[in-house]
Amino acid sequence: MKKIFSHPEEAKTGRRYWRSVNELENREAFLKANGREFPLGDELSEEERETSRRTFLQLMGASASLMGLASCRRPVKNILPYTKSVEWLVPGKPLLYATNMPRPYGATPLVVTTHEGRPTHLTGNALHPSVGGGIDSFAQASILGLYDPNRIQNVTRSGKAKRGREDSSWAELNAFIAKARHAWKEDGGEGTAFLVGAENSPTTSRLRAEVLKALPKAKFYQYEAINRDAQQAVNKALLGEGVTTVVKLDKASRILSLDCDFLGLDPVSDDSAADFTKGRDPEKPDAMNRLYVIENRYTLTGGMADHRKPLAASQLEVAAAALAAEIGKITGDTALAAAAAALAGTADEALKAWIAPAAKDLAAVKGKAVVLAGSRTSEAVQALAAGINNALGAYGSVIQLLQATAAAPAAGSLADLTAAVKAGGVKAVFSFTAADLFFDAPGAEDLNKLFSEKKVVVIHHGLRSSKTQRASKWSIPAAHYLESWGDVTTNDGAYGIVQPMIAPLFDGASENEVYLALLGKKTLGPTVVAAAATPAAGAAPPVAAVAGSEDDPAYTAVRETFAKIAGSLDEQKWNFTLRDGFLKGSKGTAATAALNAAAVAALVGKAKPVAAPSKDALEVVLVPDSSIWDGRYINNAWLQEAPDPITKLTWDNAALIGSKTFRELGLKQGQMVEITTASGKLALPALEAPGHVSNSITIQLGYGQVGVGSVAQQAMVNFNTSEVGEEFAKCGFDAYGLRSSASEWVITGAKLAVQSTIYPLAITQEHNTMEGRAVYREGTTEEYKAEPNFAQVTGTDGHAPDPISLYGGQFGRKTTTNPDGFNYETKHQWGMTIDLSKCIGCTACLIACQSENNIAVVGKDQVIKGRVMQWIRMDRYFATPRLDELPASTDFTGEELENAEMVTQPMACQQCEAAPCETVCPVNATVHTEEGLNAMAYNRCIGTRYCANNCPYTARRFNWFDYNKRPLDELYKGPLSNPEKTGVREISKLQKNPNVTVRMRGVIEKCTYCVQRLESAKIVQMQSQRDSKDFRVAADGVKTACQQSCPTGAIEFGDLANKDSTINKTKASLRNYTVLKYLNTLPRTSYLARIRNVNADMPGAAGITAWSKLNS
Amino acid sequence: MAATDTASADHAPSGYTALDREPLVLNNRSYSWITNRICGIIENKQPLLWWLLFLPSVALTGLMVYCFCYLIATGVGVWGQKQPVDWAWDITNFVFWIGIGHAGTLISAILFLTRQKWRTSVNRAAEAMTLFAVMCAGLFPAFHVGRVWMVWFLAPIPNANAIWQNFKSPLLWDVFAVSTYFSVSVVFWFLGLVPDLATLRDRCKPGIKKALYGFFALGWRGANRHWSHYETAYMLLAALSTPLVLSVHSVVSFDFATSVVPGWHTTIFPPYFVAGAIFGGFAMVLTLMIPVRAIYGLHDLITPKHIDNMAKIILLTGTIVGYAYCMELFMAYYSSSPGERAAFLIRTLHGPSTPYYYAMFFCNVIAPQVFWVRKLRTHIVTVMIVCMFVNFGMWYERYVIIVTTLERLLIPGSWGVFSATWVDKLTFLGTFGFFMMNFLLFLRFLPVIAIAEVKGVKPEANPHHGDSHEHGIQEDTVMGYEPPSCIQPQGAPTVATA
Repeated sequence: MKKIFSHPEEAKTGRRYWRSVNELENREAFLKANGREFPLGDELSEEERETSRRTFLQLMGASASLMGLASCRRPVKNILPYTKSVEWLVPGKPLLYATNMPRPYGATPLVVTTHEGRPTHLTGNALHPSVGGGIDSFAQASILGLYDPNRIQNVTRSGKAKRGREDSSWAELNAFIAKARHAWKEDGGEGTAFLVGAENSPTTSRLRAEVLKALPKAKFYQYEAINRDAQQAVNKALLGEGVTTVVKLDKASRILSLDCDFLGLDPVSDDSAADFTKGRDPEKPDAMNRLYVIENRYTLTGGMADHRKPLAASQLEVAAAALAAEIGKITGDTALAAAAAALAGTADEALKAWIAPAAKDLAAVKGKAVVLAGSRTSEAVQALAAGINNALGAYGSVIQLLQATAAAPAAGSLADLTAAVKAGGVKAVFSFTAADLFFDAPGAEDLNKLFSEKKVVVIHHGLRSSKTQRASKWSIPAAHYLESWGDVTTNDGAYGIVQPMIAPLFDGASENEVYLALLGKKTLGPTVVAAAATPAAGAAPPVAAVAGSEDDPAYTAVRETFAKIAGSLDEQKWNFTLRDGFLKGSKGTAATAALNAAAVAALVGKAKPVAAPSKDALEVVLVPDSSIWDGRYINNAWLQEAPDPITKLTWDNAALIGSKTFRELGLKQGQMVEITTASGKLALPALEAPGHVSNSITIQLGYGQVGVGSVAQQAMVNFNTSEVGEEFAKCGFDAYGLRSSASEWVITGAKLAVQSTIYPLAITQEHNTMEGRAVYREGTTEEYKAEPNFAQVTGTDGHAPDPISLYGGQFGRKTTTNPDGFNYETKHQWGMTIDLSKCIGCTACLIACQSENNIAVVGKDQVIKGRVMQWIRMDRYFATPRLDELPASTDFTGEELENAEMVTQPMACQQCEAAPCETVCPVNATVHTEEGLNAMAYNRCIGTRYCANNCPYTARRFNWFDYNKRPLDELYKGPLSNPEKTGVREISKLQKNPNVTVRMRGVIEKCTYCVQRLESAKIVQMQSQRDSKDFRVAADGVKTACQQSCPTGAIEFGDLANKDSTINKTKASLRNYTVLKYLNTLPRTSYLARIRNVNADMPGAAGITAWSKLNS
Repeated sequence: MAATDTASADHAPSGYTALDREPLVLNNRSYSWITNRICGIIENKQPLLWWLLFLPSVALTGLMVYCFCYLIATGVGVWGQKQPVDWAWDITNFVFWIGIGHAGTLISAILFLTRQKWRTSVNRAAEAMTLFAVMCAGLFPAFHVGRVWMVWFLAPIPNANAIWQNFKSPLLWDVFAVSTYFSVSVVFWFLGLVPDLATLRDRCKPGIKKALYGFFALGWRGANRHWSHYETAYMLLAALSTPLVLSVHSVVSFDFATSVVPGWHTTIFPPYFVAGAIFGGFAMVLTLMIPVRAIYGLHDLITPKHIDNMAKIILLTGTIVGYAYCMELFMAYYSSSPGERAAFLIRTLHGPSTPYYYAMFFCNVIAPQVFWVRKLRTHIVTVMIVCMFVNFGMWYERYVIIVTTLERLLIPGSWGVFSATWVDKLTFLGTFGFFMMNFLLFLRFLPVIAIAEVKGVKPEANPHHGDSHEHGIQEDTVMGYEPPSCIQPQGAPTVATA
């Protein structure tokens, strides 16, 4: 077969080589001949040659037969190797680089896996001193934002002819900037405003200061939809200007959270989850920390609590005051007690009975106890928490005080900007914030109107299509943080570099670059070559690597900042910083602030007790969403499809209503309710939320955006609208309209009207209780001390004989000399433990797995049909000792469910040694490896699905459709689906891990312990060992993706046959149990029972974890 | 029922008090009447009703083909299956059809070996029904797989990868069991057809028809030698088929019984499935034969006696099935296994699909109990109603076993409820069309009753019939077999008259 190579275009730069003059001149004849394998001998064309009848028949016969043959062949596509090899690049081998993800109020240190120059996977930077090495789901999924097919790709501006937006060019934008610069020279930036986000970047701060120097009359304003403005204002009032706090939870042994979801969406340090679990080792039950949580709905933090008090959000001030009064009394802080007394007096008896023992417990460990107020709680709650922390001696011990040193210009608030616009003093606004001003600000509609009335020119800079972007005069595509140079400081002040992993895919510019353009130091638009990044530790030697190009102003700007912070422009230090991702030894400046007690009293004095919510005056609590945060990730398919850790809801938000209220209203799951507050109205589906307080409604923010991209759009149009009505065909419901700038997060006095329609909610878990089955096991510290192996003797496990394998295990017969059946000589034996004491249920592992293993997204419609593909299922159960009997009894009101306990359990393939799935596969598509893996041969699988039925853990996933090939909204059209949308999008292909097969339809898939990582670790080991026979991977030498991402280190994985590996220590724990042990499947994944550190003096302490004992 | 064959009653030998058997061919029809009547179905124009049934059946077959094409082109997702319920209507329908395919071979093989002469009137149609049911059944496992174009992986064909099949998998046993059953059933059926095909050949005018019948009649001339070989072969095939009747549904039940799924993992499944299959199969035979008998006027050949016998078998097997249902519940209780107990509590009390369980129980256990009453066993309308109940009930039984079990597996976090899509429903409906189309074509082109065999149950078939000199009794014989010695008269000579 003739090979036709599609020769890539010659590089525009560098020396050009040519074979002949013809080639040099690009003559047509040459181009024609170039396609041939052998040049023609003569110049006669096919037509010119004489063809006899005989030849004709010969040719016809031959072509007919060849035609038949050719149709049997698959189309051949040739790939070409690099002609100029890229430095450090070995095809098939990933390169790892350290970088940082800038985030509002902090940063996440990352290590990026790149394949042939494409970033494919993110992990936490375990070397970084501020973090534990895991990352949360937002950071994990941010890589998909880089490959978002609906990223803003072009410079656009609003058209003159009112035809909406039109494409513009970088040149025009540059011309516009040049014109503006010319004008600024005259007016000093009068009327120019910059609206920025809350990232901590020294370079950006420095550039902002420079901009301000150049435009002395310009103003900076800061806006984030989910902000900490209140918290910062309180900090300023209580602790002084520029003082920030970082809570070191690992130093706390008693923690009380006042609606502070520090394990989830409201972190109090760079890695709160890791810090928290550091102090929570059940193997040392006496040293375990204890967590009290007061909240209105279940959060991840509430799920991890030892004692949880469901309380209406509007009553939080009372609870905080009661606590302050108690603690003030115990610690002798009379000022605090006096300040809190008035509010504390309104607390009811039940609350007091709960507060008193908790306060006693906190005060007993002065200096090691801390009270955390959520960043969106009221000023009084924050002030009371500060007062309590002061009384408990938490400042300086648990809470670190840092002095902000960044040279950032002081930024006004959104209210200041609005006032300035109203006053007519603003002509142009450069919007850099990642929030969507005209969508998520309080009173966004009016704001939008105000801006257009006052003819404010908005120059929008961002990654995603948003309402602000569409309303702006100019829209500049932003560069993703994986495409741009930058820097960050973490909350505790460590300095890190953001380095590009790939040249900007759509020529986007970073915020820094826009400032540089405004300063006249850079022209925006396509750059020729982006600076190369430096491999991270262990990947390659750093010194030889090329770092940045001196021509790139963004790069030089970062280097300048680095030089200032590091004290020198030392090349080696810079390279090491790039390699490690952070500057060694950099940390924040400690502040020595004392708490202003008078200010506490003043802030508390302002608070007035609010009546408890009732049926007619409900409270509405607005919270960020675990999938889309403030709405910015709405087009991120991984996050959208990752179930909410608590509600298990995907692709939507809903009104979370406590079981009691839900039943009183006679609601059905998904039934539409209309909620009316003082500032707005919203109809949205109701969802029963066990553990939720009565007469309170929680709604996640950020949903209901229109025109934001095909992924969100897909959720809107994917299901059959004729079944549910057009008006429901959208991705969630916009709750921002319910709030006003006066009451942003907790709105009281809301009304609810029940509608009749049922909205289809995509919930991944249909059943919420464990039905008395001992799937999840937990106990208290006391029980653990009394009976350390309680988890191993729960229910039937207590009297079932130890599992016996007829085959002596898959990897060796169990004998007297080899009692555990392992072959310790040559083979690896992989195993995993999941510590339920540490697992917070955050779903970061689930997204890490999706990213590593190319797991398809299936869309809302398929989730509703129960076909979610994620290999890890995060099972979440609610439990009370009598829960199973309760719903059946007639007097069940759901009130009992308010105090239900919540547990989460990640469930993936358990890699059973005696796997039921393997015996039933008729074609041997799933077989056991010698290393104890339950392997899947995708190309052998014919899809009988018998294995999935026979898997006791329901860990297998089936490709019901070609999820990777067909557009998700046209799955049911099969081959008739829109051919233009068929196939993996080019941009999405870039993210795929080349070491993992992208599965086609009709095959089963499941967790394989990241077998591709195990194999590459083995290959590396074999290479390094050369002639030696010891190819065993070093103890803990390889990590699975879920393990690597887990923020709390709950997942342990390793070689059971290697006595040094940590997995053997966790497996030896007496808390170690396997699920469904009595089936004799001998799972390689086992769980460590959860231990709760219960305070016996607390009300209801005896009942905690009691449900676990009732299980069989 | 009182003896109606007055001739034999009048001439009963003195000192011989054997109860006269009801004749299996009523009204003393002659050989030529039988031949004409049965061949007439093929040779005459089909009644309008045939066309009214045939055309919709063809349409439904087309629908089935469309549904399978859609399934193959698009993905298994067009069915309603979801994560915990990976098998639903597909395997339910498979087991349903394969169960129906049991009665035919049971009638033709086991009843042959046990010399139940009444089988001759129904065995041909029942065997045909078996083949068509097995064809319908085979479609489901073949097409329910995710990659049907790779289904040849199931065949032990030498290949470059040297990957063999997994002989531990009950699905592979299924492949062998069903294909063996089908091929043996085809041969058995065809062998029985040979003498009748020769009859049809002889009655045809020369032409394509004659050539075709002649080709398939394999040169049958009715010679002694032919009969001798034929009967030996027929008996051997009957002996070969008999264990297959029992094995095929046992193997199908292993799909469930060998799993670890509570509700499936039960030792009672093989006998329970076989009894259920015979039960469902007989109900389907009656569902088909009662209309055929009425339409083509075969009342003299398919008599109330036949219907009565089959109703008795339905009563017996239905009661066995009822016993199995109760025993399952008892074992779940007695096992003390929490998973097992929960599975049956969910099935019977508080699961999402309990109505299916009660529908199944009523249709399969309660409804057939009316057959204790003799009158109702021969009351055509009652029999038809009960048979329809059984047909539905047996589908529900498979649905209950497969779907309600999978909806509630061992980890509650993975539970989910199945609901069928239009493709599920139309595919199943389509297989009924395919089945009916085949059956109607069979009626049109092949003798619905085994002519040669049914003649064998006539008194005239007795070699000693009309022989006044020889010792002998008028005794029915089947194709020249002597009745077993135990029922042969000893000693006393008899006088037999025509």
